[in-house]
Amino acid sequence: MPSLRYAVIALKQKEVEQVITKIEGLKAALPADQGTKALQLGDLVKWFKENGDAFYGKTNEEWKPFNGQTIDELINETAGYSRQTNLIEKFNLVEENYEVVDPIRVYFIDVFALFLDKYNKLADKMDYHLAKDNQCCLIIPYKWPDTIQDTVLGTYAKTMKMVYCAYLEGKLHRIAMRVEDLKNFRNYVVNTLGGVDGPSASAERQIKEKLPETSTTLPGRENE
Amino acid sequence: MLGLRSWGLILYGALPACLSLLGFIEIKVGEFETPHTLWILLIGCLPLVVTFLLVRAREREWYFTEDYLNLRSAVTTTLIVSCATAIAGIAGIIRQKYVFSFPHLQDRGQALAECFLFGIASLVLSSTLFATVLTNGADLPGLPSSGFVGAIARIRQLLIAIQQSFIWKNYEANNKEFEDLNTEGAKLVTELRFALSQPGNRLAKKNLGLKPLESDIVIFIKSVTSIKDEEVANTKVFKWQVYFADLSHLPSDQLEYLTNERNRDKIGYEVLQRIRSLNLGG
Repeated sequence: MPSLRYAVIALKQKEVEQVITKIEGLKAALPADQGTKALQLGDLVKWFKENGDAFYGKTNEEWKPFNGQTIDELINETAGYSRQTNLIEKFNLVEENYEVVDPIRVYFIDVFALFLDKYNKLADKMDYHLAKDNQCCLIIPYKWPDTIQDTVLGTYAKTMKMVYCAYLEGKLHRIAMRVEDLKNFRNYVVNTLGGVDGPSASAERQIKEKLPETSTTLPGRENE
Repeated sequence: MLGLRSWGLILYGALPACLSLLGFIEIKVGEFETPHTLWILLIGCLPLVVTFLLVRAREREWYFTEDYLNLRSAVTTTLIVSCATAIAGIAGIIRQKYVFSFPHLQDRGQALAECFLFGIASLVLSSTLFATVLTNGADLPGLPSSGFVGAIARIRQLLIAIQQSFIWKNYEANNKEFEDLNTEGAKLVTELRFALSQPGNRLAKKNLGLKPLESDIVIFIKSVTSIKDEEVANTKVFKWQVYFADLSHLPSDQLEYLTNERNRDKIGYEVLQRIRSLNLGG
């Protein structure tokens, strides 16, 4: 059975400070009548300052969302998944070289990363691609205060509109609040898609372009 | 520094000196003019140099690397000469040619010179022994077995082949190249297990680091397999860069990511570098 290729979009430890600055900037820019929102952002900054460092490492994959364990440790306990986060590094926001990230089927996303321009733009650019061809799992631990959950959910819905809509329509995108949710998603995806040894999403698109469903002739045999 | 395998060489090297016990050879140091001392010393050193070279050649076959080879050979040769000198001295005492007077050795210059010269002279016989019997891989007591030495030679050859392979220099998309490298690695593991199964001093085999080398090679095979089995071309290159590539020429943005990734499995990377930097000689 071929492995499901996954990538992790998460902050690195050195980016934590940038996120704090970013959220503080957002808070400062709020009009005076949005006091509740300002309070929420204030809580977020406070919580992030206190806990941020514990969750992140030098690389994106060293993000430890639950129990001090990385995504790799949490999901790759048995065969079935292979890491491909390195492909994200090769994705160019200007060139939009989707073929590079095409092999990735599953994305694990840290909602805090969406506050940073670098990842926000990446998520924005890949939104359609992710909603249509991939599975996303956003991680928002239930232990976070309610106000923080509301804020980050709002950021997710705003940045990844297509994924959010696809999720509401029943596509296989999830929000994991506990380890069990993550494992459920992991097993569900591997059971549903893991056995599919078909062409990649872009190859499938190309086949569809060449062979529309109405066509009954093979290319090159039109005159036969 | 001396190495457990060298004791056998010292034993066989000093053995011809025992002829002095039988009184076969006798050396008498006469009076000679000072200008001739240099020539006498040079000629006297010739058997010493030949013995050193023969010991070096033998020890080179017994160890994987050439680390400390010259020093180890020099120590062994010195010990052989010292033992031969001591044997000649003891023989002289037994045969009542010399009288043992430990605190006054400085007064026994002539006796010491005779014993030393005998030791050097016995090296001529030792060299012949080393050049014939010992270099033909005979299974003699105190020396590594011929099967073991043969396995070590094959292991060294395979290690040299791995060190000179493409994987340290450039990326090859062709899976056949990776498969060939894995075959070499598998052969190496087999040879290591064969060497370990050979009779001989357990301590000597342990100190040679055969077991750690086996686990290092297993890590090497795993790294190569991980690249070979990777289906995504970009990730294949990425894995090769993380495990084997020289990153010093990469731009800083790529360098940081790859270095961090490399540091995630620092032990594995260090093992690969250890294999690469083994001083195996030509």
